[in-house]
Amino acid sequence: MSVPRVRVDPERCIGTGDCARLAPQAFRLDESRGVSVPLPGAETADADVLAEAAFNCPTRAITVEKAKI
Amino acid sequence: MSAGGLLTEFTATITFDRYEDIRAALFDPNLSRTFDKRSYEDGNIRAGIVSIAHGAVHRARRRVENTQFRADVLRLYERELFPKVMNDLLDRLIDSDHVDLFPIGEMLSVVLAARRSGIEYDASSLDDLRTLVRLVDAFSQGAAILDAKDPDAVRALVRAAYEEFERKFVRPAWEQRAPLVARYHRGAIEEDALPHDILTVLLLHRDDASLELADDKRVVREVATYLQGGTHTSAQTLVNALDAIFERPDAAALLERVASDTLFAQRVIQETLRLRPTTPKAKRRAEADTEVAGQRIPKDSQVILDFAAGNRDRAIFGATADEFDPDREVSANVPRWGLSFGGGPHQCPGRAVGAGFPIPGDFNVDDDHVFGLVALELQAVAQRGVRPDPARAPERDLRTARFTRWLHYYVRFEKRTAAVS
Repeated sequence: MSVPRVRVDPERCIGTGDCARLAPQAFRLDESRGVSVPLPGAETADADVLAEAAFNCPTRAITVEKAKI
Repeated sequence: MSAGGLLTEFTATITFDRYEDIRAALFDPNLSRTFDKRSYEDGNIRAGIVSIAHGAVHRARRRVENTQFRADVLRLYERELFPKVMNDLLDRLIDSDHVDLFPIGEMLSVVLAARRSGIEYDASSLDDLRTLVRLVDAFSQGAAILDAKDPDAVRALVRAAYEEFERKFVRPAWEQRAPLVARYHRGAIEEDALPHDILTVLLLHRDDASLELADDKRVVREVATYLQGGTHTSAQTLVNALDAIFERPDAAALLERVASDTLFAQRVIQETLRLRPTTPKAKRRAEADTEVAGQRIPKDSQVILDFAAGNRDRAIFGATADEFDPDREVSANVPRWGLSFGGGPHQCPGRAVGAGFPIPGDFNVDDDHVFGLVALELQAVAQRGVRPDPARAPERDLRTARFTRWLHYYVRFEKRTAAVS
C-alpha cells in the first residue's frame, strides 16, 4: 500500500496561504514564521486536492510523494 | 553589458508567447526582474522594492507582507468595509450625467489600498484621495519605466512623488505606529493591538536583516509599491471591462447580467484581465545560464514574456481564445485571468483583492468566496446605468507602450443611485 507524503519546504514557502485555502484539511499557516505547514494527517486528504495545492504553489514548496508503508 | 549597473545590452533576447512556456519561465529561479542594480541615489527609482527583489530577500519580504492578504482580511474588506465606502464615493463622484470613469475607478481603489498600505489619510476627503491618485499615477509610470518613452522624465517625477508621499502620508502614520511597535517589542501590548497594514509589519520586522529594510526611504518605497499595486491595475481593469462590454452588440444585456449577478461580474473582470492584461509583456533577466521549454538562455539574456499572447493561446483557451466570453469553460488549474497576475514567486500578492478567488469550473462558489473589489465596482456602475458617452471619446495612456492603459474614459449614467432595474 502507498500513501502520499506531504511536505512544505519552509525555505521556499512565501506564505501566500493558497494551499491552506485550497486544502484547509491538509495545510495551515504558521503565522509566527509566515510559512505554510502540513497538518497532521495531511496525507489522508483527497489526492486531487493535494495535487492542486502543489501545482498552484507559487514557489513549488509543496511536494506530494508516494511512499510505501 | 551594463552601464553602471543598469543592464542595457543583452547577450540575447528571447521571447516566449505560449502559455505553458511562459509559466515555466515564471518559475525559473535563474530569471529575475532585476535589470537595474544601481542604488536609488544613482538613478534606480525602484531600488530595493519587493517587485524587483530576487531570491532570499524577496522571499523574506513576501512572508511578512503576505500576512496582509489573508482570506479573512479580504472578506472583511469586501463584505464590510468596501460596499459602503464605494457607494458613498460613487454618490459623491457621479455628480453629473457625464463623467470620466477612470479617475473615479482610481479613487474607489485607492481608498482601501491606502488603508492596507498603512498611510495616514482621510478616507472621506476627496482632496486626499485625489492627491493619492496623482501620486499613484507617478508611481505607476515608475513601475513601467522599462517601457517608458522618456525614462529621465519619469525618474524626476517619481523622485518628487516619493518625497511628497513620505511627507504627507507616510511620516504621520510612521509616528503613530513606531511607539506601538516599540510597546509590542517590550511586551506591553499584544500583536492584535497593532494596526493591520503593510507599514506596521515592515516596522515590526525591519530589525530582521534578511528583509534589507534598514533604510527609511526603502520602507517608504515599499509602502508606495503596495499603494500603487492596489490601485492602478484595479482602475484600469474596471475601465477595460466596460470598454470590452461596450464593444459587444449585446452590451445592454451584458450590463443587466452584471448588475444582477456578482459572480458573472467577477467572470467579466477575470475575462477582461485575460484579454487586456495591465502588463501585456513582462521582462526577465537571466542571472545565470538556464533553459526554459527546451530553449537555452545564456546569462544576461533578456527574456520577454508575452502575457497578452499567452493569454490567447488556443491550446489553453480553445478556438475562441480571442473572443470576450465571460462564460467560457476553462480547464482546471488554469486561472480565468491567464497569466495577467504573473506566476511563480512574483505572482501578484493582491490578485484576490481585485479579482477575487479563482472560480470553479461549475461556477458553484461557497459562502467563503471572494468576488474581488473590481467586480463590485463594475456591478455598482452597471446598476447606475452606465453607458458610453457618445460626445467624448476615451483617451488611451500614450506615455507607455503598454497598450491596455487608459487616461480618461468618459461615460454617462442613466441613474445616479444604485437601484437594480
